[in-house]
Amino acid sequence: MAQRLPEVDVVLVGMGWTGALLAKELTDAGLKVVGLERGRARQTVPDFQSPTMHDELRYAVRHGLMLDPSTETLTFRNFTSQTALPIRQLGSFLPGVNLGGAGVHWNGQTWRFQESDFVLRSHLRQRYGEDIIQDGLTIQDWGLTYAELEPFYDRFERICGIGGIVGNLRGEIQPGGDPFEPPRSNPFPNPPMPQPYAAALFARAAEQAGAHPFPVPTANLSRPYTNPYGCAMQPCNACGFCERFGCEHFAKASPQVCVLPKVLGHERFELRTGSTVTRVNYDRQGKRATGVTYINGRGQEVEQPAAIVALCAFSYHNVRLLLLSGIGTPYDPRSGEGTLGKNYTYQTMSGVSVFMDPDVNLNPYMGAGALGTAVNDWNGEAFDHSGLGFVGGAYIAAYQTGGRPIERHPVPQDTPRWGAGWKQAVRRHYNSTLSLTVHGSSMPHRGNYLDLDPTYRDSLGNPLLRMTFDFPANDRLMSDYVTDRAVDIANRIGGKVEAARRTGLYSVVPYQTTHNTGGAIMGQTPRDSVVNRYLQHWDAHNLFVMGACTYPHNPGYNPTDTVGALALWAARAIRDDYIGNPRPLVPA
Amino acid sequence: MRPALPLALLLLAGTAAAAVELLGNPPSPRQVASGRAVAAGAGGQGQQGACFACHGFDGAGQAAAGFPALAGQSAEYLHEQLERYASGARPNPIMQPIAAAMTPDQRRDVSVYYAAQPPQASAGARPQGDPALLQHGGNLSAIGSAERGVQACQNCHGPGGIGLWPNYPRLAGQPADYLAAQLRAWKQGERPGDEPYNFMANIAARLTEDDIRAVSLYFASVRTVPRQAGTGVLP
Amino acid sequence: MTPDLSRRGLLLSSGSLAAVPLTGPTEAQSHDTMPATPMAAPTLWRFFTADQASLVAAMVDRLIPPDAEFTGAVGAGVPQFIDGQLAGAWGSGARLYRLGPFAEGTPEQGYQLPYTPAELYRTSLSLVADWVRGGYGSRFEELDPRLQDEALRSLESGEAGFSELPSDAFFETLLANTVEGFLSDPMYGGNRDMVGWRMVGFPGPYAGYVNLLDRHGLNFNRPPRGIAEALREHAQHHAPTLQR
Repeated sequence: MAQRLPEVDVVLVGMGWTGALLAKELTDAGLKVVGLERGRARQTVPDFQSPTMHDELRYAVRHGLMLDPSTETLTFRNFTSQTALPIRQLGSFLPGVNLGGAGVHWNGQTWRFQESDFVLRSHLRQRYGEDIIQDGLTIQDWGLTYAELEPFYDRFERICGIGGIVGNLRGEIQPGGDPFEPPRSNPFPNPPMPQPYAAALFARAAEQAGAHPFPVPTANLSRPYTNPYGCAMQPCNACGFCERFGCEHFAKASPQVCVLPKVLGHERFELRTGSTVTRVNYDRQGKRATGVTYINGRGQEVEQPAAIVALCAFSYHNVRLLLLSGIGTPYDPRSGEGTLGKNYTYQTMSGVSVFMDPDVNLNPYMGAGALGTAVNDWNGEAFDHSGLGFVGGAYIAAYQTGGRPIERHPVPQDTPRWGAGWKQAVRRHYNSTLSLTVHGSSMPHRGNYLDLDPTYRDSLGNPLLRMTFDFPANDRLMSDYVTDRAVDIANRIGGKVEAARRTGLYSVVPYQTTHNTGGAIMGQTPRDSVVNRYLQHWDAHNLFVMGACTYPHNPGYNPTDTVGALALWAARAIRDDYIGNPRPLVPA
Repeated sequence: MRPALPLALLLLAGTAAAAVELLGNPPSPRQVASGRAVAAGAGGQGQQGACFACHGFDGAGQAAAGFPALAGQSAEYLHEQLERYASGARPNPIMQPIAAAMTPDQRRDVSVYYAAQPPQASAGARPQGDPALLQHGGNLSAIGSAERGVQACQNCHGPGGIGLWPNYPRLAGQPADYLAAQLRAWKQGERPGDEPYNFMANIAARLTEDDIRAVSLYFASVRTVPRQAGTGVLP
Repeated sequence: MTPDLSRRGLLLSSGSLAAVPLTGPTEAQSHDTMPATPMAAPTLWRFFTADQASLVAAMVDRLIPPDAEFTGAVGAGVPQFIDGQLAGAWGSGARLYRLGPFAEGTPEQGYQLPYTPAELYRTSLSLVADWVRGGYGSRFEELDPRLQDEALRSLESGEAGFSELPSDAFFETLLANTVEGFLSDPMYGGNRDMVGWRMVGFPGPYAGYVNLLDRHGLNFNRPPRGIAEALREHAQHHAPTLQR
């Protein structure tokens, strides 16, 4: 029998980026907030200090900061005709665990989506006609516009202290920035970091190819900075250990550095670690959530009633929790009915390597997670898709994230996989290989979705989430097209150029990105979405769902900036509109 | 008195050689010899400003007087400091006129010379102090302080503050008074930060006087032994 | 987040236990013919039997052979590294989802064998030893290097037909672990004298380069320093002469 606790105003499920932001905004609004985190607490000091944090084997290869698959994983198949099997060890994507979630181990590449992304179906139809959207693609509008979200992008970027060069200031194109970015109301709060040699070589070649290079907006701080919450951050020293690691310098934007100092210890906030939420309790008649049930650190079942429930776990964990709680209608790929689990999308990645002369010193270990230069000439709607046969696009970037050698020792494709030839090639190319990332969009397809697995269970006995996914033909065409552009730029850099294209079926084995999106998408009506434009559940107005699971498609950018902006946008709606008059904020 | 220069060159650690190369040139015997002459007072600063008088020809400094050791610092770091003294960016009434009187080549050569001197094993008097204070300093060095929002010193300065060249100077074995004076100067705004990052001004501002004494004492107490090669396998 | 989508990244970034018959050339070319270096000092093995250690050493030294400048996997301590990994949490299946039912999946579904890494090695090493003896009439360690490479290629392609498990699952694990052992921090027993880091020019975990980023093409060759070495140094410095 679950222990039942007194009701609180708000219960947050998960204490990563969105949980921290909601905790701050809602305690500021006078609400009593409880944050439930299944992992343990951790902080910059002492948990992330080097040199122990700079252990590639422990953290990057053995996934020391990631969710242990033996407690919970997913099952996976490419098609509904297959039997899904458990992802027994992490590979293609790396969900975080513990306080701060993936906000601790991210790189810090901080991108806004394009204006067209928020109204994608309408926009494509208007610009190209209905036929541009391939059969089976379930592209739809988001229910809010870029202009509405812009102030919240701006605020999240200020909270993170993002460094960059503005490319579009209130509609005016600015030199040195990204001319294809949507208009910003303000310049970046900080300048970019100095760009390394590889980025400079890429920038020169990209300009020769007629493209428009600019430094990637970075959450690796380029200056000492104090954010609007009053949290102090320190500059990045380019140690080259961002992704899969915690930052020891208070220099990478994270919940720990940017938000939690003003939340932890607040009289209206309580953090409960070791608390795994197993379901959202739901009053079907009243169409409202009554609270959550969780297993605490001692293995006891606890019920926490709450006036407002917000799901702030990692993207697909929110989807699973809704499925386990029986809230909403699971998506059926045969009929296309139901919305929960629909439009699961990912990121369509490819890459191009330039093997340069061995006396070129690129010094790849002088890195930072978002250090690099990119072009957006072939991303989203920056280019005309007429006659191309696909929608969407990708940015091309020369990142220098670090030179950790177990995972980064590039060799040409004709190199033997082992033996003396391999050894020589690793030695020769380590310091002189320039890598381009082609970071592509992922369009929703009716066959790609999330539901509960009928067979496999987590360590608590609950069904695992089942992922059914392969890259749609649209995205493969897109990826090939932009990869060709990257090859063209690479050829101008000078060296032996090789592309690693998006071929074959999607596999959960090699790492690609942890940009898992969709499954509890936002939209204009309850018939085609799980939550409304305020991330409020259509079937329970006091239930809010945060994160990238609400994206109806995944644009060709990293998702975190939009995750943060949407959380602040939803928090504003809860504060200013919902609390005084709890109701559905959008009529169904 | 005059050490055999060729021998000194032979003894250069790979470390020092590579640090010098960062300045744009591998150290030539002539550059080292020229740097030694500057250290002896033959530079524009003259005999009164001879480096060796305070820092020694071996670059060991004088702990009792608070003169820092220069041996084993990178040429890059030493050169940058001389430039900053010369321009007044690092205010110091003693070093400013000395550095300003040198020519750019002399500043470079003397930096190369001192970088080429192997750090001396510390001998003689050990720093004395409160064990609790030392322990606190060691913690700041290795872990930092959550309360202050300060990261571990060794994140940048290497284990025990042995330095991470070319940009992060050796703290190990430096006089406690020298280290504390620098931290206080940063904290009180008397020594400007290192634009645009201001790492140390930013960190020093968060330290209490107790922290400053602790961490200075700790680094002063680090034994400067020649680096031992070893694999350092954990059990 | 940035993936490494070079071919090598695709092959190795999944961690280990790649049960996947991965695409790409399965033939290794131009292996040199240097014999495996004999083990230097006697090792107290924590997981391997002496016979298993000998077999592993012979195999990994073909995967990363010594050359005139840089020692190979054995000289770098890779067998000791693997031994430590298998004796520890990773070997016993930490961070591996181990609930059944077990079924053969597609390559895209990843590792689906019921074995922990330790069980995979135990089972495979005995199968490999028997298979080599049956096919070549001697122990692997005694084969000519060319035949050793041929045998390894058969394991890699899965042609070595084991009934208990696919030989390529073991080979991919061994290869991944060998690379890890050659390039991970020396505190894990491999990368001895930081040979792997010195070979590629990686300066190690002590890092901070923001002041050097815009010095393009800088010839930077600072010798590496490992984690445990640093920790030991720190501990050593914690013993000052104290006077109250």
